[in-house]
Order: sequence, then structure tokens, then C-alpha cells
Amino acid sequence: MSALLSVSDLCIDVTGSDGPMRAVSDVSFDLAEGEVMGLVGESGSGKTLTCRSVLRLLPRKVAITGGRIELAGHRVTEMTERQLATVRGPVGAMIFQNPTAHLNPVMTIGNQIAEPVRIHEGASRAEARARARDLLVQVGIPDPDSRLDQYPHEFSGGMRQRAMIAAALACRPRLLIADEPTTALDVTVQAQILRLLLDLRDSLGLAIILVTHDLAVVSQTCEKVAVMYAGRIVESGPKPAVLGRPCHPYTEGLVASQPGGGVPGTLLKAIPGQPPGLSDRPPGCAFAPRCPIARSSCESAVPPLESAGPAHRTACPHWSELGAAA
Amino acid sequence: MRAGAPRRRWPPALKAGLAITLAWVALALLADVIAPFPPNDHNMQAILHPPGRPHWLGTDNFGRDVLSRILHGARVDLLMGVVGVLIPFVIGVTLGAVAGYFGGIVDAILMRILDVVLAFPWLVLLMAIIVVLGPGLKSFFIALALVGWVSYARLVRAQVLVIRSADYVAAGRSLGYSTGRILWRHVLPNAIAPAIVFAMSDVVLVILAGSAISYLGFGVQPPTAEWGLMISEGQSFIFTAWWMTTFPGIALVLLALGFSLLADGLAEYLGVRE
Amino acid sequence: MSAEAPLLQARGVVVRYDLPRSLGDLLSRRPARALQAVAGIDMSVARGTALGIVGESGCGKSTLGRALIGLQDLSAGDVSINGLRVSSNMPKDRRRSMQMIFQDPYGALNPLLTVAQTLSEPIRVHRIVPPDQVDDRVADLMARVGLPTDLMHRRAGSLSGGQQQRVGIARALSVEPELIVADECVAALDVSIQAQVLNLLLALRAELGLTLIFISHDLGVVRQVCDRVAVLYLGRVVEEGPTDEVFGDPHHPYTRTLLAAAPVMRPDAPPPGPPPVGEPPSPTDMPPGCPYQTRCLQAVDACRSGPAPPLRPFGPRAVACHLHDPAAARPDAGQPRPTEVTT
Repeated sequence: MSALLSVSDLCIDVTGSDGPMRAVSDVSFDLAEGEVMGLVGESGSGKTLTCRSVLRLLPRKVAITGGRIELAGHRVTEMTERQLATVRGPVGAMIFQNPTAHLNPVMTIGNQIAEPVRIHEGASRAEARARARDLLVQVGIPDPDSRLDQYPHEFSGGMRQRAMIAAALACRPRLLIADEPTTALDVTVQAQILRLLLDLRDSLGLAIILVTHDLAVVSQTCEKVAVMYAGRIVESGPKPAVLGRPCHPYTEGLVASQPGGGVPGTLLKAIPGQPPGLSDRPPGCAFAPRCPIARSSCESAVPPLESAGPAHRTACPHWSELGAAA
Repeated sequence: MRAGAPRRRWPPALKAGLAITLAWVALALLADVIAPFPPNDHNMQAILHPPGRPHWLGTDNFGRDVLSRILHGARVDLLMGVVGVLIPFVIGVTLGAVAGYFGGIVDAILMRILDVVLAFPWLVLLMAIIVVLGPGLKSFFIALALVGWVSYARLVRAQVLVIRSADYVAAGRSLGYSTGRILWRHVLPNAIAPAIVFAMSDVVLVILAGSAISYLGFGVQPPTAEWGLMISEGQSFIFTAWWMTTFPGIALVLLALGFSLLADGLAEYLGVRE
Repeated sequence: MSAEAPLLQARGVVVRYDLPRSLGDLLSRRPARALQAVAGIDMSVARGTALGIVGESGCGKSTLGRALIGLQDLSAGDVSINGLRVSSNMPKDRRRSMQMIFQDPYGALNPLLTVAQTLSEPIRVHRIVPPDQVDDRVADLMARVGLPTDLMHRRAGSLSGGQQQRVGIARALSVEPELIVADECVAALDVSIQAQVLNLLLALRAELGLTLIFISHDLGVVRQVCDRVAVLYLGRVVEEGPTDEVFGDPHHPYTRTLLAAAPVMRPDAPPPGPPPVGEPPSPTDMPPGCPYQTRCLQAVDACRSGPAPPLRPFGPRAVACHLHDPAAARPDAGQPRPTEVTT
């Protein structure tokens, strides 16, 4: 089966006041039709830039400086802005953490969902409206007929997130990129949105990239996981393997520092130190300064990804020591 | 990623503004030394002398050296600008901070007074008060104090309203800090930046107003060297001695430019949105 | 409950905000509407324990936390700490005993002050040590919360989120409090930093015998830190008890929903089951009867009218649900429950 999305050796530079700095380095991953992948990392790890670059939705002063992205046969990295418009929407769509900031406050929900349908498919006003109504039903918004004519401020947070999903689905994309879609929501609403995303995957065959910092969310929703640290994927593979038998000390540290699993009142196994900033990333393995099994060789060269099991790759050459230590 | 410390690099506008303003301050302070002639020395041999040696910027109808008068006039104009802004600044910031922090009836009364003052055109109100008090620099300052504070009060109050609900203010309360300590040490320093920026552009307005009022005969009285007054005096000679009005005018524009750049630069440096 | 008097005692705490009236409201003479953020809460916290307050946004947990230490005026009820009444204008030596750690670590620090200034100010104000020892004291505090002393002269903006939160914790500790209210104090931090800060709090609690009120939406965090937990829904406590019991065998339907919805990190976790229905009603437009009845799958007629069910003791815990009326139910609490229990 060929991949729907194939990212290889992606590099992204951010231009600051001191010139360009490498924010994302040599990121590669594949995603098949109907697959759900979790892209995990802390703030500054490059996960948001990586997922946005798939549709080239990068802010100013941020540029793809290397690598290739292929989405459903389109070479995204080589397209003009005009060509990209035919990809954004009908092929790939994106939803965000904060729906309020991504919905137009002075336009009705119905028009916002119908707009892309009219632009991309040249549908008539009535057709587009009917489509918008179907989409509202699909994302579980009750009473769609009156909801179509309401404005975003009349929606609750969870309903706004549903409306944004509906707008993203308007042109029947094959890939949905969800950047922290539930971070701002309460747990009960989060459960609803996650369930909705999985249902849409099942009914539409949608592939989903779920960008999140929350391992618990990943463990419930994703088949594959890629863990990012300081701009690189440090471990990737099937969810049960990556979370069950982590082969990178960073992943292992994240899994061990999840609160609530251990005995109440006891200390967590925390990772010491803090992630490096964009300008002070170490030359070798970026995790070495915080790593319990680091040795001097880790500080000189960036370790390449190596296989640690079926489809399971790690950027730690000493991964075999991890299971023994645990 | 959270933005780290704000960039502490000086914006070009701030550097340029500071350079121009400091140059004027230096010229004003050193006027006695560098001015080629005493400002009020009549030279009947050189009445309406065009620019050239030894009067580089010419002389006026009493044979007074224009360059020397501009340099001495800088003292008066800078004094007008600085004092004329400082008094309303202190009054406005204090009232605005108190009103914003405590709210309630104090705030309501203050805001109504503010509305009334703001309802009149600024310069007309200024003139009216000066006419009542009688002409002179003192009246000018009193009038400014009565009229000018409203802008500062409004700016500071708006900021204080935001900052008083900041978590560090709650932390201060839970640490048992006195209200005065919270207001003056924690709230006001974080609320004052827009007022400082406005003060810089206000200096320009005040100097121009001072000059305008002197020009109309209600401000600084002759024979004191003051730019507005010089322009006014040169008006009748505009066709025969253009330098009498042109050079004080350029001086005024240059000083105003300095403070405007200072205001822009400070706004950028302090992260104040216009 | 031990025989010892609790450190904190709250009775009938109500916090009500008046909503602004529109011109239309005034003309049609509609009465002023009020929002009850906290709708009558009784609570007692024993010395040296950690109480978790959990609930969704808008349930009033932050308002309650502030009300408990006098940072929020009460509309009714009273709170006392060490038997002395808490109010917003109590003297500063009484204020000392109760401190707060905030959610936004940067917003909790005055951006113009250095770390040393932030930490020395409360020490000076309360004369904790003689003036010549203040600097040593600041260094001690920084060491205690794991801040390198070379950060002493940095301002808040140039610190990382984790470091900022450590400064906030050090500031709270500077006045040697007995009670600390931590309001979502790790929610804004990255996962790897979260664990560090939680560990710091756990260590400080053990070392200093602090009493902790830990407000969080994250059930895993509460489970890690707290002995007891109170579940809030729309300004009311719906269930309260020892953390392992409440999380292990939730009685109130809302607690059960909350636990089922909270994702748990397990490598073999199944996809989430059918999600809970609906969203909380607006606090300005509360339903009659039990506040949870609009979303409760087990609601019966009694739940849909009359006053909200009171919080009734139920063994070592308390539940506010008509289905858990000790008068109606069998006295033993361990009855089998149809829904699965998430662990």
C-alpha cells in the first residue's frame, strides 16, 4: 500500500534577529489512508511546525529549507501558492487548538462551512447550504437547521470545535491535521471530540495526524506515534511498542513521569533539566544533557535513527540498555 | 513557545530621538558659552542683517542676533515642554492609578470630570484659563495642570484596570502587602509605560501650544527670547527678513522631531501599542 | 476524621457575581441576575493533608480556592483557618499562614522585579529574619525549590516556565505558610517539567508538613498528590472522600463520567468508549433539581425538581445524589455497580 502522505528529511528554519535557526531537522514519516498518527512533543519541539508544513501553512519568517513532502501524489514542497489552494481543503485540512481564533466571528457558521464548498466545488448556494447541514449532522451538532444561521459566539467551546471540524471536512479531505484539538477543552468534551475524530476516520477513511503533548490521548487514539524532541523525531513506531517498550530515554522518561499511575504521594520519575531553546541546541544528541544513559560519544554526533523492532525506530544507539534499566 | 525576555535592544528611532533631544538640551545649557552675542543686545548698526558673518542666522529688527536668541530660546521652550508635561503627568498618573485600582465612587466622579474636560477643545480651554489668570508662563503651567492631566489619568487608569487583576497582584495581597505597596510598587510601574510614551509626544504639543500662546501674546512676554514669540515678531518682516521667522520655525520643528522620535522609539522599546 | 480540629473549616460558602443588566433588562424590569460560582460548600481540611478539588471549567473550583484564603469576598458563609476567620482584610500576620501558587507562572510574577527582589520583599515585609540575613534567606529559598543561585538577578521574562513556577513556589514558602492553595499549578507546564514541579511540591509537603489544597482538572495529577478529593459540579461538591476510594469506586454519576472520560496512559489502551453526553448548563441558567440531571443517564423524577440533593455522608466519604441516599440505600457502600470502573 502506498502512503497517502510521505515526509522525508524535512528541515525547517526559523529566521530570528540573529539569522536563520534550524527548528526542525531531518523529519521523515509516512501515513497511510485511514491511519491515525500521534505527533508528540513539548513546546518548542517542532511538532506544530512539522504538521503545518504538510499544507505549507507556515508563518512568516519560517521556511522549509530541505526535504520533500508528498501528499496524495502532490509534491507539496514544490508547489506554488496557487497550486496549494487546490490541495488545502480537498486533499488535506487542518483544525486547531483554539477554534474561536479560527472561526470568523461575524459570519454565520453555515456560511463558513459552505464557503469552501462553493469555492472548490463551484456548488450553488443551496447545494452548499445542504452540504453544510449534512456536515453539522455528521459532527454531531444537534438541531443543525437553526445552528446554520448562528454565529460562533452562540456556540459553546466544544460545539465550536465541532464546527471547525465540519468546516475542515467540507471538501472531503483525505488527511486531517489536528493541532492540539482538545487541549483547551474539558475532559468530558475532549472525550466527545476524540470519539468524533475516530468515528470520522472509520466512516470516511480519513487519515489523521494528531499533534499533542498528552501521551494519554495518544495511547487511546493513535495507531502510530512519533515522538519529537528539539526538532527531531527521536522515536517512532506502532503505539503499543513505543509506549509499552520505549526505546529512547526521552520517551521512557515521558512515560514514567505520567502522574496518576504510581502510588499516591510518592515521587514521580521526572526527567531532570529542561529542553534546549532554539539557539542553544547541543551539537550531538539534543537529549544527552538530560539523559540517564548518555556517554561522551552522545555529545559529539547526532545519532541516526536505527531499527528497534518491526517499524519501530529510535535515535538512541544505546536503546538496548533501557529495558534492562527499567 | 513563550516569548522570552523582551528585546532590550534600542530601536533606531529611540537613538535618533535621544540624540536630537540631548543635543538641544546641551545647546540650551551651553547657550551662554556658545551663543556669539547676548540674546537681548541691540545692535543698531546691524538691523535686519541677512544671514552671514558675523550673524550666521541674521539679526532682527532691533539688531538682535537670531542664532543667539534661538539658543537662549531653547531654554525657555524646553522648560515649557518639560515642566508643562511633568505637572500634568504626576497629577494624571496619580489620579488615574487611584481611580483604576479602587474603582467605585472615586472612579465614577473622576471619569465624569474627565469627560467634561475632554468635551472642550484642548487649546481653547487652555487659552480661556490663561485669559482668566492673566498672561505669563506661570498661568500657562497652571492651565496645563488643570487641563493636561486627563490624558494621563485615562491612560493609566485603563492599564491599572487590567493589571489589578493580574496574578502577581493577588499574590501580593495574599502575602499581606499593604495597598500602597501593591499600588505603587507592583501595579503602577507596570501600568505607566503608555503614559511615558504619551508624555514624550505631549512635550511636542505643549511646546507648540506654548509657542502659539506666546505668539498670540498670552504666554512668554517680550523681550524674552522664545521661539513662538520670535516667529510672531518676525511676521511683519516676512518679506524683507525671512530669516526672522524661518530659523526659529526650523528650530521648533527639529525639537518636535526629537521628541516625536523619542516617543516612537520608547513605544517600541517598552512594547506599548499605539 | 480525627479528633484534632481541622486546619481549615468552611461552612456554607457562597460566591455570587452580579451580572451586568442590559438596558432591555432595566426597561422590562427584569430582576438583576447573578451567577453563583460557588453555591454553598462545606469543607474541612485536616492539618498536613492534601485535598484535591477537581471539576471542569466553570465549576467554580478556582473561585472556591481563592475564597478559602480570603482573596475573594464571600456572598455568604464563612471560612476559618486555625479557628480564626478568613476575610479579605485580615491583618498581614494572619495572611501569612495561607498562600497561593498560580496557574500561569509568568503572570504570577511582577515582570519588572528580579528573582531576588520578588523573594526578598515578603521576607522584609514580614520581618521573617533580621535585615542583614535576608540575602541568605533568599539563597536558601532558591536552593530549596531547586533554582540555581545565578538566576538571582534575572527577571521573570528571561526564565523558563518551570523556573518561573519554582519562583512562585519559593515566594509562597517565603512567609512560612501552613496552607498552600495550588490552582492548576502545573497545567501550563510541559510534561517533563510538570513531573519536576509535582515532585517538588510532594517533597516540600513531606518536609515542611504543609497542608495543600490542590485544584486541578487533571485527575492523574490529583491522584498522585492528594489524600482526599472533592469533585465539583456547577459550584457544588457532588462527591468527596479519600482519593483512592473516590477514584477506585466513584459513587456519583458525574464522578463516574469524569473518570471514564479522562484518558489514562496505557500502551494497550482501547479507543475511547461512548463519550459522555452534553455539556454543563450555563451557570446563569441552572436547571431545577439536581444540577447534573440534564446530563445524567440515571436521573429519576426526584432529580428533576425540588432543591439540589444535599451532600450526605456515605461511609468515609460524602455524595450528593438521590441515588445514594443512605436512608434509602443499604448501609454498606460496596454495592456492585453496573458500569465498569476505570483504574
